[in-house]
Amino acid sequence: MAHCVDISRERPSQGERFFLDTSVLVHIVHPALSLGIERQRRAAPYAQFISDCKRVGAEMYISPLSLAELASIIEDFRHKVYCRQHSSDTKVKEFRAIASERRIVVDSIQTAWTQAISFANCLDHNVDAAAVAGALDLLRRTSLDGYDLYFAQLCHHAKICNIVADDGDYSTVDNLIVFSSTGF
Amino acid sequence: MKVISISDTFGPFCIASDDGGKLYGLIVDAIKDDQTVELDFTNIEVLVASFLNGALAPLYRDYDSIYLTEHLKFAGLTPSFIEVIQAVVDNAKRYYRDDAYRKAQDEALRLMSEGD
Repeated sequence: MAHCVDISRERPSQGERFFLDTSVLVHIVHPALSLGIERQRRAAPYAQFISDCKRVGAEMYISPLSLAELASIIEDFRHKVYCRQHSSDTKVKEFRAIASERRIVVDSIQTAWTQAISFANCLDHNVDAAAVAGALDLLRRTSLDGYDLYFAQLCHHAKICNIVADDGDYSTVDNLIVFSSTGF
Repeated sequence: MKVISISDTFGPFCIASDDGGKLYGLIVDAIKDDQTVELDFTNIEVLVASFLNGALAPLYRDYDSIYLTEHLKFAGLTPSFIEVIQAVVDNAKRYYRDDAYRKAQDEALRLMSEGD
């Protein structure tokens, strides 16, 4: 089992290295996800921790796959908003064909990614046959799914033992220290 | 006109929403007395939505957009800062001024949260 740290009680140190899971990244770079009292309360400890990392000279990392996951979350959000605004059950592929909506989604993803790489370093991430085999092994041994399987492996290969996540699934991975405010 | 140097006040990294909240207070202190305030982003290295949602978004809940256009100015912006400010302001305007959009956004985020 991973060791879990309450992010609101911990301060990073110079030279420490952290991987930022997309569950945290999205709270920092997506305008809708830190707007409103409740969402701001959820995002605030992560934003403060990332700010502290920059201030003290701790390093933060993301993966090229973070873009794919971020893009998926942003499109899912816009799609759900669209369906509710139009009282429709427009399918995702139909939604993508609406030029005005597609432009909003693509611009939102671009703006989000530009912000992300302004405070975090994007690691090289080789997703090859060995990575797939490792992902399948992690799938059996942990509660991880999707992109998180590859992020956990990337942390291992890059010798990063700290992960900042709003996702309790990482707590099932050995040799990771999970920095979170969720108290799982 | 009152000028707020963001880097002098918060340092070069504008990330924490609590810092954004402090900037919101400074802006309100100025514009409530009909003063114009200029936010100077010179020497800022990182500017993200979580900070701006604390600083700028609530202004669009509390003040008319036209009043803010007249009383809130920006300096020292890079193209990427303009993009993120625009994204935050556009979302805040719609969220606070359009009830149907706010309900749609809240519902979308609730559904996404349940899927976590």
